[in-house]
Amino acid sequence: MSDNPTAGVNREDLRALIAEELELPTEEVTDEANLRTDLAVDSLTAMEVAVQLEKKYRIKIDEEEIKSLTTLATIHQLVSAKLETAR
Amino acid sequence: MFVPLEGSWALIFGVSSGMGKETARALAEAGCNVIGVHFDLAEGQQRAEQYAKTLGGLGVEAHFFNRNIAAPRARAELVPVIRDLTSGVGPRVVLHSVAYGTLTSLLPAQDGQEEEAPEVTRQQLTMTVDVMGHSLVYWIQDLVKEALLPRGAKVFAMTSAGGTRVLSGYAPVSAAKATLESHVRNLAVELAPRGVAVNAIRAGTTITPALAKIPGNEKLIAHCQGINPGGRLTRAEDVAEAIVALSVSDSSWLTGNVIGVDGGEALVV
Repeated sequence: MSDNPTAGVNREDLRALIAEELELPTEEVTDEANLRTDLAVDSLTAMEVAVQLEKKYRIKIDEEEIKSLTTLATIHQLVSAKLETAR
Repeated sequence: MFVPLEGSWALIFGVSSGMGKETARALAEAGCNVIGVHFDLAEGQQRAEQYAKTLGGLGVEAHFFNRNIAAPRARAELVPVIRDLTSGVGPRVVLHSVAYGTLTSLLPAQDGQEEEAPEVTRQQLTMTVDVMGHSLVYWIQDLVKEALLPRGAKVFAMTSAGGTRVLSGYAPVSAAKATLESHVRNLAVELAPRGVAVNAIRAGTTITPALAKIPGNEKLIAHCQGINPGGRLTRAEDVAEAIVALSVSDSSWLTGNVIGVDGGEALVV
């Protein structure tokens, strides 16, 4: 195990997960693409992403936090932070 | 003729909350096995799993699935599961009790109005009507295709007074309910030759997690409490009991209706 707090969250894995849920090619899910405004993600699809994140990383996401799932970068941050506090 | 529900199966969309949850219990108490679909974050999912165990404790089988019912892949995945669990017979009761939509107005709120509501977007409107309205059609299509909607089956869809009346901040859901009621009528006619009944249940104002999300729900609750001729709000149990009562008949003649289960609330102004 690495000491790097984000070691558990590979950005490319995350990108692949999001792309699969959004049914988009991975290259469209850039680090900074805004899910809602650039990738046309509605609240239901955001919820799907959240449920998959919970399953894959064994974390719990609050309903309120779904709104903060705006870009791959912020999602990476959120998942990393949750895994970190879970240690 | 009345046919006991014992040993038959119910397919419930929206089983983790409100009317779907309560109807699952009432059906299970009548000996009906339950296939429940819900869509919750981890915490809600844990509660739902616990609830499935509680139903199992009533001596029936209860299988819950955490899926977005509006996603085609959820149907592709679950229809074979439904076939296996029901031994190829299909569910005798189908309940669509899905509350997932955008609560807002069609136009932006005017200055000075107490409740802030941004105007609805195309995406929100489409999503809400798809999830709370059209999804019923897609599931029925797949069940019929796979011969999993037997003669005598009953399909129920939860609607509300807001489907025909105007409630502040409810517009997208109102459109979904109007759509749902229309689908109920058309499905009733199209399924009549197969002996399957389809009805919408229009519950009165009921305190559920979905109601809690409607802007201004406190005012609505107080108003309905005041006008309901029965002197109280509707309870999820009232709806559950009505659905069980309507499900035990094998007649398909009661079909295509919007049935009020509200103590007469919608009749008084």
